[in-house]
Amino acid sequence: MGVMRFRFCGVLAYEREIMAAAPETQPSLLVRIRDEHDDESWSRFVDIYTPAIYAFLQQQGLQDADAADLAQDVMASVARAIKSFDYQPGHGRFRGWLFTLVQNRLRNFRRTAARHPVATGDSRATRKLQEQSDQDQLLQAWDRQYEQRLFAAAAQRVQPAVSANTWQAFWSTLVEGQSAPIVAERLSMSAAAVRLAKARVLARIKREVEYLEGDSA
Amino acid sequence: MSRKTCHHSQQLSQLVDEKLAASAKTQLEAHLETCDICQRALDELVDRDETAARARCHLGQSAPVSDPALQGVMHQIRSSSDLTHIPESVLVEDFAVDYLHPADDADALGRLGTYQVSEVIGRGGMGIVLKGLDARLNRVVAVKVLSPTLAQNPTARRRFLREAQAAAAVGHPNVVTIYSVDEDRLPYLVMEFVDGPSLQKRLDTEGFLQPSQILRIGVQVASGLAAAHAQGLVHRDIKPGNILLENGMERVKLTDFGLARAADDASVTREGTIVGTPEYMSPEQARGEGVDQASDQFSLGSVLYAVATGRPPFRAETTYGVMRKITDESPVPIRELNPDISPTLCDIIERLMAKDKADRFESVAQVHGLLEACLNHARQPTVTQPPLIPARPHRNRLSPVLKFFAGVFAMIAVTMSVLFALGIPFAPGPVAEPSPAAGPAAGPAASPADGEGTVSEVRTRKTALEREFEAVFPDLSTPGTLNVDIKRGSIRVSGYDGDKVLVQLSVPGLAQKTTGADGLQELRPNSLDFDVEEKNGQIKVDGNSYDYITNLTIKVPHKTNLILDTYRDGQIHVQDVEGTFNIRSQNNDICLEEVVGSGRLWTYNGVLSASLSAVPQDGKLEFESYNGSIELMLPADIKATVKYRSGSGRVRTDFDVAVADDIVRSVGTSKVEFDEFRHGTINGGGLPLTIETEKGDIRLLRRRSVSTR
Repeated sequence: MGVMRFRFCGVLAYEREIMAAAPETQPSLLVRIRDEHDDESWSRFVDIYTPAIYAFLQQQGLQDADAADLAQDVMASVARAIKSFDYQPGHGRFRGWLFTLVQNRLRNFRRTAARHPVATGDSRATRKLQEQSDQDQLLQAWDRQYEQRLFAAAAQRVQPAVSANTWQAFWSTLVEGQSAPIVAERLSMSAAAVRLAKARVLARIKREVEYLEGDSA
Repeated sequence: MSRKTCHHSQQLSQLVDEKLAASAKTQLEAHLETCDICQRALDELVDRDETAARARCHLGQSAPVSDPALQGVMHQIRSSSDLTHIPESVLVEDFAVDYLHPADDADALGRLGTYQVSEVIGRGGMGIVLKGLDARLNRVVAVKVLSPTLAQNPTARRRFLREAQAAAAVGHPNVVTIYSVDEDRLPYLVMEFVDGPSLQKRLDTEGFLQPSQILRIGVQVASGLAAAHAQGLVHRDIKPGNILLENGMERVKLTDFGLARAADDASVTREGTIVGTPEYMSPEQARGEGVDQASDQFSLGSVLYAVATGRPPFRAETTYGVMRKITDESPVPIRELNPDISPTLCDIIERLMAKDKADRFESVAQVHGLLEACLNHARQPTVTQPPLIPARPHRNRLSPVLKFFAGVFAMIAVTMSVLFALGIPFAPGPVAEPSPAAGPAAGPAASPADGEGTVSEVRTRKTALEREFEAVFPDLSTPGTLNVDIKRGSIRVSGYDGDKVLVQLSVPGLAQKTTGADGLQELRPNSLDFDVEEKNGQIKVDGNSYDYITNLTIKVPHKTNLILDTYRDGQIHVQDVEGTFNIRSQNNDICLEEVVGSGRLWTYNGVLSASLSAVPQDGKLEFESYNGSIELMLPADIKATVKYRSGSGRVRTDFDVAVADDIVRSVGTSKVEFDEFRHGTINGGGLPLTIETEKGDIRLLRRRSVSTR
């Protein structure tokens, strides 16, 4: 992918070696799903973004079935856009583009719902539907769902690749906010090792996140 | 505290990114153990990274994905090898929404070009119609966007733009004004926004119109059409849906000039299939021949027939059936359906609808004059005379019998070429091998006169983006064989009383197997994962391969037990069948129509809709849809156990029931709400009824007596 993660300061022999072997020079997920035969990437993509869309729509007051329908519509649109090259990676942030799709669908759904109030069923849902949420709040809610999924997916990939202690050290310090010496004592590691574990796991997660939402080809 | 530095700190980021060679790495790690400065620098490196804040905030927040509705939809999306095929109905409907740019105005749906789009006002085979605002002129407009499928076809695209430009030149009060034609990824057409329903909607809601209203509409449509014809245009798709009524019925406007042609280019010529409703087509259109201004006359006649009687002149269940009637049959005389219509108007309509276009009027302008005279006469019957209809030109005519056969042959030829265009080999007789070499010359073999291996009607039609294939065997006295190559689709079963027909399906690339059975049509497709078993009056369809089947009709003898299983995908439509049923579909709808019997329906994501004409005494009916809704129409007097359950869908029934209050919180309205899983029994009219639902709502329709216990 175009987001180069290497800094070419003094290209030493060993760096070149590492680069040759580095898996992260692969194209990002968003580029890979354009390959119709890459089922695995598509599956991964679906696993990350469908729940984000679904949870977001649920939060906006949609019933499960409606949220699922809309999420499916959006994913189908994504698939079609990617296939027909309507979405060009690099032309803007993926998350914003996806949000536009979701929002257009949601508005359209609400218009239909407002026109046929009988069809929506649940009166609480209908009431909620009629309340137009503030755009900033929408965007925030979207960001939250999107980021949660993105980071969960990245963590899911990184965790099995590191030792249990390394993961624990990272989780306790960065996510739970415990101090390095305390965690070090609990895990029978040195504080330096805990700090290094924290930094290394975070770096891996960062690379994974970049892989997942990287826009450039 | 003075800030000390350590030269090793420079290398920390490389250590973190695992880019150091083994020796350097070990060295630096050992140094880190003892160097507080480097440890602090390491912490700072993390803290400076905005990813750290994001990770801290979002990790550990997301709930595991366990929602059944979500699981279902993810399964569906993931399991499709070609995703653009799954929710095609949805794709066709709402594609334009995806092409909108974010709007400046929060209330707008989005922006297309310079237009703020506020809502979707119509959908059709061509594309979608949006309501928009031209902010510069503060003018409300209708924006018609060509569907992406059609837009991919350069000819269709060009024609859309060209025809729109031609239509823009008409400029007539009875023709919708076209303001501009443009492209914003998709081509679109900006038109006058007509605030009013279409004639179709009016017919749907109010049925036929008053004679004076019919004439007023007729005069205006003819006037607009005549103006377009004067410009050399052909409308090609005159139908009530393309006639808009402004201010009640004061002003009638014709829309969609020539646009049907762009669709023709993309689909008819490419795949040999018919698009849209054919009810107002002319016979020459139905036969796939050239279309001219005289064809518009026929369609105008059909529209006038519909407004005079409240129904289109030719009706049938399938597109093919309608088309055959258009070419072969005369409609029921108007005055039999509505005696209020004047003989003169009836004559005009009849003449417009002459099967042979040479028998129609000279021009629509002439028709306009006649209709206007009729209207004047209706307004002032004492002052004016009804117009005289000009005589038809004299010609030698074919006898009706000969015409019928000519029609049948033309239709067969069209059908056969359609079949070949679709890549569906057709072999008459019990020949297992498809014979692609048998070109359209094989057509007459399908005529009713042919003995063995008769398939006398083959219907094709197109819905959405799918091809459907339907074979009907009206003469069941002799066995017939039909070989079809199929890809993707749904299955439709309907009942009949005949006895001996063999349907063979073949999936490309796999060997063919054939088995025959008396008294039963047997379906034995030859894929590993699709199988139909026949056993003692039972027909069983089992497996996963509905990706590879185009809609197929199987006719099942009455009193046949039916087991259908499309565990993965595939719509199932069962019609007019008698027996017990056990039907399952993973992601699609199951529809029973006029079925007699009892049994079980299950779908994970589809809609269950069942209309049963009779249920055996003490029969058991079970309906379950995990995510879809359920709609039931049962006879009022059944004595059977009915059980239905929907995970998160809606349930609609037409039962006459009394409601037990241990499960129902709100009684007295037609809506019952459940917050969580509930279970209980509802008794009413001798009908034990079990309802289970999680989260869904249940609606009881047509409830006559409700008592709470």
